Amino acid sequence: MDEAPLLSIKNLRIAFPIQVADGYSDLFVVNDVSLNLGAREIMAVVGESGSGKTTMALATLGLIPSPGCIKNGKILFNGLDLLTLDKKTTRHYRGNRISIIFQDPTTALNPTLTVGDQILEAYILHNQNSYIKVQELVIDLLVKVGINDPKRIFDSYPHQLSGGLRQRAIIAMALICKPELLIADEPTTSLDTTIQAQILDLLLDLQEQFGMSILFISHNLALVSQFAHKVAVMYAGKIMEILPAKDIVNKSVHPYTKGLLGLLPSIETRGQVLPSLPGSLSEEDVLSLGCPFANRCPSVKEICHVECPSLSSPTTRHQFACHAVPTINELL
Amino acid sequence: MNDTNLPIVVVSNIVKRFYNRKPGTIGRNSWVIEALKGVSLQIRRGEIVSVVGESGCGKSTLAKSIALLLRPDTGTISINGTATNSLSRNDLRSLGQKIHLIFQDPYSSLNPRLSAGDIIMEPLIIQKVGSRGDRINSVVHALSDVGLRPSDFNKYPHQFSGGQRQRIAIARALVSNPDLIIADEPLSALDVSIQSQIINLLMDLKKKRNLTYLFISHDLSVVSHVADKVIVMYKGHIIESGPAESVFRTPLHPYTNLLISSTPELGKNKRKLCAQRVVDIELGNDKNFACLFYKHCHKASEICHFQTPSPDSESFLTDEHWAKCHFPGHVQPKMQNSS
Ligand SMILES: Nc1ncnc2c1ncn2[C@@H]1O[C@H](COP(=O)(O)OP(=O)(O)OP(=O)(O)O)[C@@H](O)[C@H]1O
Ligand SMILES: Nc1ncnc2c1ncn2[C@@H]1O[C@H](COP(=O)(O)OP(=O)(O)OP(=O)(O)O)[C@@H](O)[C@H]1O
Ligand SMILES: [Mg+2]
Ligand SMILES: [Mg+2]
Repeated sequence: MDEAPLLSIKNLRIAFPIQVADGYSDLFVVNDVSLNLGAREIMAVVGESGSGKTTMALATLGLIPSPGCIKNGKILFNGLDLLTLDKKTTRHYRGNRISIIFQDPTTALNPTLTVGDQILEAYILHNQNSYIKVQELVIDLLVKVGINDPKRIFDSYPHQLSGGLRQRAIIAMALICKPELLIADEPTTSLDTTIQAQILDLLLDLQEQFGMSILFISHNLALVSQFAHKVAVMYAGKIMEILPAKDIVNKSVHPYTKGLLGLLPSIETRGQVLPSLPGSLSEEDVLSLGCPFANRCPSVKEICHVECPSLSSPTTRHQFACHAVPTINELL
Repeated sequence: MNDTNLPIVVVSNIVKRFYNRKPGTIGRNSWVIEALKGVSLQIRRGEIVSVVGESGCGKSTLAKSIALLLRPDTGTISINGTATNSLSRNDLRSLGQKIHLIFQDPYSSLNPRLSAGDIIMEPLIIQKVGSRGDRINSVVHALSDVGLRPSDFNKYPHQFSGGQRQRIAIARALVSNPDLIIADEPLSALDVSIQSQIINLLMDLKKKRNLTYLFISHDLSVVSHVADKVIVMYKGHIIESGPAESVFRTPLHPYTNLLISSTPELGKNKRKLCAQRVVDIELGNDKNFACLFYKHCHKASEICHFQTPSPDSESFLTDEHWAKCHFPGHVQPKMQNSS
């Protein structure tokens, strides 16, 4: 892809203060992350629970919860740095040109308003149309996200919905303005496989028809390998590997990515103890100067404990940050 | 009492309705929804029973009913041989202590004013187990079991990621040492590494403590690994039930088949995932068909229109594995002209 990326995150660092023996110190939960998302592109972000995926997503819309703060970096949307925008302009982008499907349903939905009114409001904030027209639009979209009694859902309060219905209402709210960039944080975790497939089809339709780009955060490697163009793998606030999604099974090189792929349960693994990665991520690993995965890595070298590998050049299709893997040039 | 084959939970024919009536409005905004339309099941001690099914089909409602948090409108639930319909609130509460429900939503189910450590410790305090020191020990132990750090003890829920909150809820269930854990999508926000660690832990506890689980999940790969028995629900009904291997290898109901075949597979690059749409575009008028799956079923025939399928002889694969379908598994309807 030669054209300028739609979204370009450059050297982003986000920290939360943590208590240490002598006062406070910064814990970087997003640590020097750079990635490019092209127009019409679908990039999946997978990785450790707690590796900073949600925090990175929230940063694009200026929604980092305090006391977290951005220490460094840029987030360019169509070349414009979102981090320098004032509140009013950010609000213009939010929900309209960039929208987000929150992982946490409680931040997305107001418990005191009906679901229909909330989706409607999201539309009216940025567009003008008659109430009846917008209501039709909303009902229509609710059907598209797989809801078969949209009138009831429209008039329901969030607590009256099942987990998956609520999740679909949030998806509808994010899509109602046909954003250029959709950030979807675990959007299908409460959906059964048939509805999940239907929603992904809808997203693909929107991506094709309106050129929407999607940053898709998920833990489901199988899903990601089928749905996305590219996959970024995160661990402890860092990107470990970025590669074309279809290559994840056969061409991934990072020990962490390869480790994850070997862990999936299935009917064939019944009765067996599942393999898991040895050890766990400790605070020292995060604060260490070396690679945060070093203490759990099967191919660890001495250098890994003292120097953190950097991600190879963003122009290559396959990037990874690992001392133990020969560079692409050496591979050729 | 030492009969271990006695089921720990017996649910017979429960119906649960929710009403929505806005004060002052007649008709327009009011509706009744029947979330459970006559559900019966048994859970035996030491068994992992998994409930899968359409989003909104009543799984969480079933979970809350068995956890004694919702009272069904009709039907009965017995726990350890005690019918719960006529129990007083106090008796219900003491019976309920042996059942632990992990809620579906890890965001709103944790008390935001308590630290992670206190949330996990709460059941121990309620049950008056051990000294404060013992309790802290068990909590620290549970934290490491679910892949969290001892330093997480003093953090509050909002300081955790989605998956970390889910693990706090799991740790809380583990320390409370119940007979039955009802887990509603307990692993949905976890990466595969933590997920496999926790699956191993749950399986281990099942062996060691003879724990019983009711495990609700949309992730069929996880279910096929852990479950002894699978129950498939659709629109408030159980439509198929059987031993996990049998259900996954030879599904009987077309809906089960559809669920299994829509599961994404690693490394297969098919851009369009969904071949078959399962949504009624006409609004909610499926009441007219005897079989609820009629409109989406490629096998639907005349009989499905007017006769409700029941698990009668033709729908059995074995005694244990049955489905509510006139044409289960490979049984095909006779060709007929539909006009
Ligand atoms: N308000 C906060 N205060 C302190 N630490 C926080 C806060 N919010 C998040 N964190 C920490 O930041 C890290 C990254 O969190 P984030 O929610 O971005 O993870 P994630 O990758 O989305 O994980 P998951 O897959 O579990 O949702 C976590 O370790 C979390 O504990
Ligand atoms: N308190 C309530 N008031 C009104 N309706 C409710 C209430 N709780 C649940 N419902 C409705 O009952 C139906 C079943 O809900 P339930 O939460 O049991 O579904 P579920 O199978 O758990 O779905 P999911 O997989 O999406 O979590 C849904 O249509 C839901 O909207
Ligand atoms: Mg997250
Ligand atoms: Mg539910």
